[in-house]
Amino acid sequence: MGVKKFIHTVLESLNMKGFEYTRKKKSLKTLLKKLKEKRVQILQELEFEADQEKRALIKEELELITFHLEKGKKKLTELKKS
Amino acid sequence: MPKNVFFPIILIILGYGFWSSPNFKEIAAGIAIFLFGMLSLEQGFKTFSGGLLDKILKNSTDKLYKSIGFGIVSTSIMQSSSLVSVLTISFLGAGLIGLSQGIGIVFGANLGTTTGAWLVAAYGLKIDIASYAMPMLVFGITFMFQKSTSLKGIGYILTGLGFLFLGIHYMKDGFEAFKATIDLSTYAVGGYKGLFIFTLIGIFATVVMQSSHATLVLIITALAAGQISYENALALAIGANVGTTITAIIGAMSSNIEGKRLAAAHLIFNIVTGLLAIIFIYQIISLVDYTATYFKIAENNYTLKLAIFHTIFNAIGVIVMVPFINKLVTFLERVLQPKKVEGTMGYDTARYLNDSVLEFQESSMGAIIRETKHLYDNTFEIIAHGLNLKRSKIVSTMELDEVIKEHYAKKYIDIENFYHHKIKNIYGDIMDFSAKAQANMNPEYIEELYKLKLANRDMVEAIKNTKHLQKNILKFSAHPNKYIKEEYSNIKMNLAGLLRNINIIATTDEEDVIVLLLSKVRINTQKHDIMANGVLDNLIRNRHISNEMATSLMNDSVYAYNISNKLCNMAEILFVDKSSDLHKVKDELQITQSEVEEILEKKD
Repeated sequence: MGVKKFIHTVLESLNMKGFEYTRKKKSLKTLLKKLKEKRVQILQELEFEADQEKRALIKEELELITFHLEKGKKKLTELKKS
Repeated sequence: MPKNVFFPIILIILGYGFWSSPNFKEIAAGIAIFLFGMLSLEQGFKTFSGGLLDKILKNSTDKLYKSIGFGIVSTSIMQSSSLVSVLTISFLGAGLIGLSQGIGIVFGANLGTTTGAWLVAAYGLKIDIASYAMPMLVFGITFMFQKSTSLKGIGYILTGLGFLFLGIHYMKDGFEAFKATIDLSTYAVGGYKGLFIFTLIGIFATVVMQSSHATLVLIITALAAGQISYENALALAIGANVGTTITAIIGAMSSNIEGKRLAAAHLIFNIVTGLLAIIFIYQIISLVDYTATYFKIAENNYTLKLAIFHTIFNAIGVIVMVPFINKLVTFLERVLQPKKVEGTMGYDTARYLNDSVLEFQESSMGAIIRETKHLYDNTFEIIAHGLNLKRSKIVSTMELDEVIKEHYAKKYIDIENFYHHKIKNIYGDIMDFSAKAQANMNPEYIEELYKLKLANRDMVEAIKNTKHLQKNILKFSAHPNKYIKEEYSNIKMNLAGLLRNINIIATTDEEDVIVLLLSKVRINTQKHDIMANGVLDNLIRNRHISNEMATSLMNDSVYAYNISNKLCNMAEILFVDKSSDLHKVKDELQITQSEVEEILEKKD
């Protein structure tokens, strides 16, 4: 039995076949956590920024981070289902 | 020239030896078989090290004590300090580890190699190891014929061990028989004179055989047969330690300056250790005697005492040299410097591509990534200067409209010339190295490598687009028509912004920042495309610019769009670390073209 086949059998017998998904889920969760923290940081920045031009830039960034958070959450739900 | 003379002399000596003494023939055959065994063993370990060893090396050498520990353990397992030191040189050459880490590994390898003496002295001479050799060879060869790489690797290791055992057996037999005819111990020389003579013989023997292990086994078997005195055996062991650096020196010849520095560090360490051992030989002998008594080793068991001596003097070397590692690094960096190319602008060449890592997929991938980053540095420089911008200003926090006012030169630079000096050779070397490395990679790595090759191509194309854009940027940035001037200033400012963002992506470890900036540069690329956003149509419709200007602007906006797009693609591949969370979910989180358009539509 080849080494790869052996690992595959062990993973199967230990019910760890969704290992790849678990890893992805974990990474996605970690990343979403970081993005959430970043969002809080940007919100605070926006609160204290008076310059309108800079506020517009920060708002753009905020929109982008919100987009990624939504996308990430959606993917996470999909991964959980599969 | 000396090499041409050296080789025939060795052949003549061997021929004469075989003709005059059948025992010499047996000893020489033993050495040859032993060396062949080592080659086979190395080959076997290389089969496995492709994935495992280089991964461990990469992850477990961040602290000095870890580097030393790694050197000890890996050399003890593989029984070859040469393989470990050559591997370390190639890692260093590939930029995967630093010089001080490399030195730590080599120090550890020197200690690890002493386990060989212990094994031979404790078991090799007492047990009839030749009886183990035969089945090992048979099983080894059977495994070697299998298709699976892992089984082949096991086959090489078993065959290697079989030949090592057989070699030791022949050497032992040869010396036993030799004893009956000639007593070499009558040639023993006492005192410091003998110490120096036999140290030189040890150096010479190891340089010829390129294996301190083989020399040491030879010394132990000769000592066990009573053919050399204990003191002379100690001197030979010191010599073997110094002589073994030749393998690292040969390995470093094809390496870059870092590899050469490591080989020099290895040589300095072994010479210092050797000198210390010679100077304090009688104190070390007393320490060996004390240790031997403590471990209840018989007073006349000189082979085990030699093993103790070998370990003690190498340990002393490590203890003495460790506090000076940083000074040694500074010294080597000052003394050994890369060759400078004469002239106004030298040809930049590949820094990290070392053929000795080709067998290790993780290491070759690491080397290609580092080299691609080197190419990126040069690409950044050419694009910035091509747009007449100062690099230092781009990477600063200065407002972008101020950045574009700071010109790099009065005249525009010759991008073609820059390309030939700073890109072409490196790009060619990366492609060549990748083609060779691919042969030893599994499909997952090959896919990764393909992406890296695309990243390289993207950079080259971005430079070519900059070349097309350059002339008009300079022409219209100072044009009396304020509309065209403004558009070209915008192109310049947007590209400066892009370079700034990519530089942040390249230098940060924060994954959330990378995600955001990668999306931001994608959105900006689309947002600033004046063909798509209607700016060009407005300018033409309102007759703000001439037809000729419109054509130029249209073409140049395509070039600018291409530069942005190519650099975005490159950044997505090159600057998302393979081990990061982002890499694992890149496909899930990365912004798509349709999403970019959707976001921009919402804004409109």
